[in-house]
Amino acid sequence: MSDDPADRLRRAWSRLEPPAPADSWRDADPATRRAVGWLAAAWERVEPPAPVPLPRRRPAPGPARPLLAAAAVLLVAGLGAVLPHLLVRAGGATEATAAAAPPAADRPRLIATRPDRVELRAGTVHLTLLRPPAAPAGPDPTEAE
Amino acid sequence: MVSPHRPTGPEPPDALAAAAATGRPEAQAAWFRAEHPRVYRLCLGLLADPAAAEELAQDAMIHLLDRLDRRPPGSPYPAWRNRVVLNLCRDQARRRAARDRAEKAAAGRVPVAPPVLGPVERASAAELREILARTLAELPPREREAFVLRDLEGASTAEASAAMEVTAATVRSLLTLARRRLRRLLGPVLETGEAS
Repeated sequence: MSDDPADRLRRAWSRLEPPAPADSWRDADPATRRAVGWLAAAWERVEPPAPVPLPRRRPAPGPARPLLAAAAVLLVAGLGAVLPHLLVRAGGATEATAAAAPPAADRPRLIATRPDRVELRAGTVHLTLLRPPAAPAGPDPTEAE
Repeated sequence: MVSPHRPTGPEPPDALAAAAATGRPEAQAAWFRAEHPRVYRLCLGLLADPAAAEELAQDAMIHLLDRLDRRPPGSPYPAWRNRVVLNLCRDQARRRAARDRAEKAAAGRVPVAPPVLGPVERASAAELREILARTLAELPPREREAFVLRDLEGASTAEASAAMEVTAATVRSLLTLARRRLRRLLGPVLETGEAS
């Protein structure tokens, strides 16, 4: 068999039966009808190369995420501050451990919460948690809808 | 011709999409089975590149699935889907063009012609896909968009113009140019094939 593109096109054409002309090209001249008809027939028979599995739906990013992150940070910070006291009360802590408990002034305090950041301060430590900026992509294809 | 505007199965595309938007797994699976071949064809027609179309069709399906429940009310699903896929294909084509320019500049030469098909690719379905893509690749991008949406997908002129964000007159004009180009390209070959 020849690999000449024209030969391949002829062979492919001979295997296809063009569909009934659609309204958009029914009244075109015969040569156009033939060309469009062949492409329409090929179009109808084209399938994806391989079946693909249904993708998992991604959770939509929402405003709850920064708040959840802030809540998690506060929980961890709060536990860190309270845990030494609990250990002392339980009698399982030494003098040194009890002394390591931060004074009330050094306990983490929430300074600011913004959509893109959460700021905490504990004594001289200032912690800023940033939400990564959105990737620089093209315009959302759904925006023009 | 398979048209998104004529139901081809027990459920029309709008009903499938509405059911899938509820999040029920079986409805989403039904929507996916019906829509993936269509979205793939659209990507193939608009990009004229089988490999890129396969990849983008996957991304487009995820993109559509994520947004099914936020579809503008009153907008027919096929028109919305065509518009989303068209925009994704345009983005992809822009990225590809930028990459090609960079590679061309780096190599200091023009891109080589696509390789001759191998034995596996010569199989009927793959060959058809390849020939269709190569034929459509001969059209300038806007003519290809008009031709794919209007003549191959069966969208109305109004739907095609909305998806392409051009006037109906522009769609008609692009369509005329595309058909003329395809007639010149395929005419001699098809006439010979018909005679033989």
